[in-house]
Amino acid sequence: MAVRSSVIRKADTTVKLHTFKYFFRDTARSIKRNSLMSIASVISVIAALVILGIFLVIALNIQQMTADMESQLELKVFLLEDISEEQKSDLETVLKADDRISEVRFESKEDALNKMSTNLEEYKGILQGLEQDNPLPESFILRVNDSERIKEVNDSVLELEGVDYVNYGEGYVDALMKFNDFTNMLSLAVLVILTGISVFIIYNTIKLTVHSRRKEISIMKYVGATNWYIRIPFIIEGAILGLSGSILAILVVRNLYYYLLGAVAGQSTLFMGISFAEPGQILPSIALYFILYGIVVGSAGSLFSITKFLDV
Amino acid sequence: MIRFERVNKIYDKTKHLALSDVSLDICVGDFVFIVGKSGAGKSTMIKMILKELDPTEGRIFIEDVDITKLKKREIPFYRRKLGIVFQDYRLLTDKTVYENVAYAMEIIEKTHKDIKVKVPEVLNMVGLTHRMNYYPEQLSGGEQQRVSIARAIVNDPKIIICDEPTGNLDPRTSLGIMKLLKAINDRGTTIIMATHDRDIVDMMQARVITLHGGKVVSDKKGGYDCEATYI
Repeated sequence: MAVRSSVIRKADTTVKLHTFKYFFRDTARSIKRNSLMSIASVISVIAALVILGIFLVIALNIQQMTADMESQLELKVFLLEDISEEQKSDLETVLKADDRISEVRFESKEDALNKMSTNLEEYKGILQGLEQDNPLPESFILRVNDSERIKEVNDSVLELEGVDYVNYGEGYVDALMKFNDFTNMLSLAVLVILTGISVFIIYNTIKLTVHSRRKEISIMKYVGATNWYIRIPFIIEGAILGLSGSILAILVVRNLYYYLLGAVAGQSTLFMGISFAEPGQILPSIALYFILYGIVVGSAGSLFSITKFLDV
Repeated sequence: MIRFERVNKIYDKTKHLALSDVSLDICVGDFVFIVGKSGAGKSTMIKMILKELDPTEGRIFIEDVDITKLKKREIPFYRRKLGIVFQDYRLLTDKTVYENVAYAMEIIEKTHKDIKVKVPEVLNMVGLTHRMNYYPEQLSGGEQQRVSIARAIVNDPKIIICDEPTGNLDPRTSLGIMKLLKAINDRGTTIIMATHDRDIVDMMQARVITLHGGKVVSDKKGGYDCEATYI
């Protein structure tokens, strides 16, 4: 064993810090040498990310809109006609103690009638006679923390004593949930497809780089460079290409979004009062996401390529 | 130091028998020529020492380690013990003379400080101090081969493998290269050189291993063995 180690120094796979200086120098040279191909692949990454960005902006806007609408959702718990004051306060205690419920508001018979006459202005006359013998039930109006659990809350409240029936606009909520699920699925599909395309583009660029540097690689192998030493500069190159593409794509998406907001600013009536997400709210997360995405996709594409084309 | 033990090599695709029952020993500090016609097995032998090819049968020992059993990840560390000189120099065209030599040190992760001391020293030894900042294309063939030798010796290998190092050079330049290799050999480095160049072999009067059809047909000190080559 001692003799063996005199020939083959123990396989030390760690790369020393000063070596990274060489890596970055060689990577810069390689990108410069293949500048046309490098530019082409950065542009392709930009294109893929801009398309992805547009979908993300739409998806995030829809998410915000549905969240807005969901937060407006209410359950109306109608009480039995003959409910006692004690039962009523017991019920209120139970509802308030439920951590799925964020808000409990009592609506008396009078409140209900007032609300109705405000909503139905033209029938005010007919409603007037009802004041003495009000047929409208008392109710608790609830808001839930998580709109996905609205049905579950509905079912359990229905079991409680003194509750006649509960109403929460079932069809509307279901439609909203389905729409939300659909946009999420669509964004995911677009993400998968565009990731595939970007990885493929980087893969091909690195393939050409490997090809143009094959002489250098063979020399490296003869002189005793380890496999990782040979691979790392290519991975750095892929990551840099992905990162450059993503940074430029962020700028494009940002400007497009501001342009869009500016264009619709004067015509908000067109969109029935639906408000767009604030750029400051969604752009930072898109930017962070793009940067990570660019680096990961760039290095992954590069790794696939060198694994296949670098016979080390 | 280097031992071939009953080495056979049959290429998978062509079924061509490239080496047949080759056994030999090369000692520390030897200067050995491997001669023979094209296809005699010279390149196969060199590639086996470089661990580019494995024998179909037999074993190859370098310093008592059976290199046919080396793991893939151990190969780079093994190759650092060797210096390699090719017929076509294999220099990186976008690097200067200095950078080409420094590169071999960078790859094995030597520090910048070490490199700055060692590279000029080696370039001085091969007589190229004045060409340090030139690019390979600005040099003559002989000068390029000197750079390649400088690169081969910069990491102080124990063995230098030369594959037709004078193949592209005129006789006078070849002579200079041989003097340089002899000087390196005199410092204790083992040199194995595959060549066609009869004049050089005759001039050096070193050990000559003659291959023919994959077999060792002659192994003796002296000049180019005509009889052995034309059996």
